[in-house]
Amino acid sequence: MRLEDSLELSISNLSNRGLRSWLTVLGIAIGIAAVVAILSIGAGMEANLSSRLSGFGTDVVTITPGYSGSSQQGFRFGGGGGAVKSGNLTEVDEAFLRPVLGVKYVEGRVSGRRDVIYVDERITASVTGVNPQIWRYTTTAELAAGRYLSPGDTFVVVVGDRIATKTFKRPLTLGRQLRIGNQTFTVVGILKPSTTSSDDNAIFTPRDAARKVMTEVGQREYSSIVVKTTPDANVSRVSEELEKRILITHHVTSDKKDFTVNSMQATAARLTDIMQSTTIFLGAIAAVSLLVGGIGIANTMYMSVLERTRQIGILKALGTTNREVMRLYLIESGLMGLVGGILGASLGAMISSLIPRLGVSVMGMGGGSMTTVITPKLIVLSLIFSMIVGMFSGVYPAKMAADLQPVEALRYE
Amino acid sequence: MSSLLEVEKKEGGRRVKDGEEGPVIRMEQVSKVYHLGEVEVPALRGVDLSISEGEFISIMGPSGSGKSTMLQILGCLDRPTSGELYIDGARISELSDSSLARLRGGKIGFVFQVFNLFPTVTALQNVELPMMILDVGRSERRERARRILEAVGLGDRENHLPSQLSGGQRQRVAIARALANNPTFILADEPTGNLDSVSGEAILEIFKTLNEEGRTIVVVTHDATVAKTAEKIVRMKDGLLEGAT
Repeated sequence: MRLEDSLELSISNLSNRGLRSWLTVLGIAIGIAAVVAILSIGAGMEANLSSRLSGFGTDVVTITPGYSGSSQQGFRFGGGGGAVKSGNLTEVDEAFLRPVLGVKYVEGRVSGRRDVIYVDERITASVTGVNPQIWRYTTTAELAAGRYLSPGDTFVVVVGDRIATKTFKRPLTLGRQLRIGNQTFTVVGILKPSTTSSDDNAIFTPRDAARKVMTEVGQREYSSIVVKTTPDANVSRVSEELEKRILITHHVTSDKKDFTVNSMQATAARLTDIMQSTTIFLGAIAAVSLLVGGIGIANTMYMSVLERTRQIGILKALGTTNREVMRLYLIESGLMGLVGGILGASLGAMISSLIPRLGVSVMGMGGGSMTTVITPKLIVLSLIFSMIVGMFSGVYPAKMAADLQPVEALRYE
Repeated sequence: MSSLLEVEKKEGGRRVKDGEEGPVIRMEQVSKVYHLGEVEVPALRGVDLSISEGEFISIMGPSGSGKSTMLQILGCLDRPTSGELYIDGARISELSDSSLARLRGGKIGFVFQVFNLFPTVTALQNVELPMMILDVGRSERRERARRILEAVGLGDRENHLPSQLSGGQRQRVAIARALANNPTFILADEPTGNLDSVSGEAILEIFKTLNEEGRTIVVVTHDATVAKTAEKIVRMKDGLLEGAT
């Protein structure tokens, strides 16, 4: 029997079982729809994440005091939500890190939470004292108005978007004055909303000015050291080298580490990892429904072999070989899978296009709706997969049909 | 009725090996034993039979005589336990299952008691089916199916489903289907068993005409009236032929 004739015969067989075929197809369609929707959400999350992470600057390595994996007690200064662990990152470290190959800027920062007063409103905000000379190169924040800090600045601040527009009843504008501690600061710059949101609630000021209002940080100490690497540097290798150097200046071995080296690149890799395994996990759950759909096909095909035993006998009497009978049934089950796949992929695409409109926010990463991404690859793969599920489900019934003895089959009532 | 033989001549006659007119069907000491659990039930016990081209033969016998087994062996739907069967010179025991399937499709035209038409396709498509199985092209098989339906008097019923036809008409479609691949012989199993006497008569007339036109026909029946239509009757009893040639 020619392939096109087999195909025609299969289609006619399927359409003669109208409702039952459609119900079976529906089982596969739901499975594929779930898989497509979930994978598209996963791909959307990943795209979202990587666009946000690029805002962090993957060429930046941050060193903070204390090490969570160590039993070493960090010396803690100051109370409050800022949890400024200080006391062990110093100007010595800063100077020692500068010559490391691949390091472009090293910037010790002083930070803490402070009461901030604007006219008659008092809030608590994170204040970061930066090196006015190089902060503009280590930060990824962009200016909405005014200027970055520059050398020679004293009691001036650059504020994040939320501080400027939302935090106070009256918006902060350039030239306004804030009171932090017992000093008065003038606003010289306002940042654009950041993709990471971490800068939105921040207040940046020159390091020396910050020290005046943050007396808990020792004169030669830092709350953190930010390192920016050269464009061609291998960030993880630079991180390792930085760690070795600080171990030396701190006179500790790596099992008594009292600081943490964290690169955004490593964080990004970790987050992407988590995201991917979440997607795979959810996809696997969706695949269970696909499995159920496959069993549905197997059941329908099995019933159809039983119902059509006599017809199989006639086909064989009329010269159809076992292989051709098998092929006929595999085409039939494969077609059910494929049609289910087409319906399911369309349904899944529809669902995933509706999701962003529901405005579900992503994992608290600064608002922003959940986005979904459907690639042609995802569609093609899901169609191939559904067809394979269909054919695979049909293997046993098809084999059963092929192995029927013509005599037995013709005797069957 | 228009000539059915004409169809055959156009398609070319039966192949004759070495120019010799050998028998179309030859059975040599064919036996068939069924195993029912531990018990062996012999259904055929060394049957010799030879049928020549153009013969019209009835195989008659009561139930339990081995008649059905005979039909299955002759139709190559089952293989003998021992002995040899030759069809058109081909030795059945040497053929693989798929070659045997192809031989059934090409050389044997089945006519069943219960018609065994495909209920979901039209009369015309039923007649096309055996040709489709043997890879005959679409337009060729359609044209040929039309001519054969015309010949059995159903030219105006080609687009009817089997359920829209009377029993006699269905059996005529079945005969047309049996003729589709211009088989070496027609093997009919109680062809009038499910028909009223008038329709049955008409079916037997068709067989007679086919035979007059040179077609080899084997009818397996328990009905004496049907058997009498044939020019030769062989009787079966206890797995053996009585008065065989």
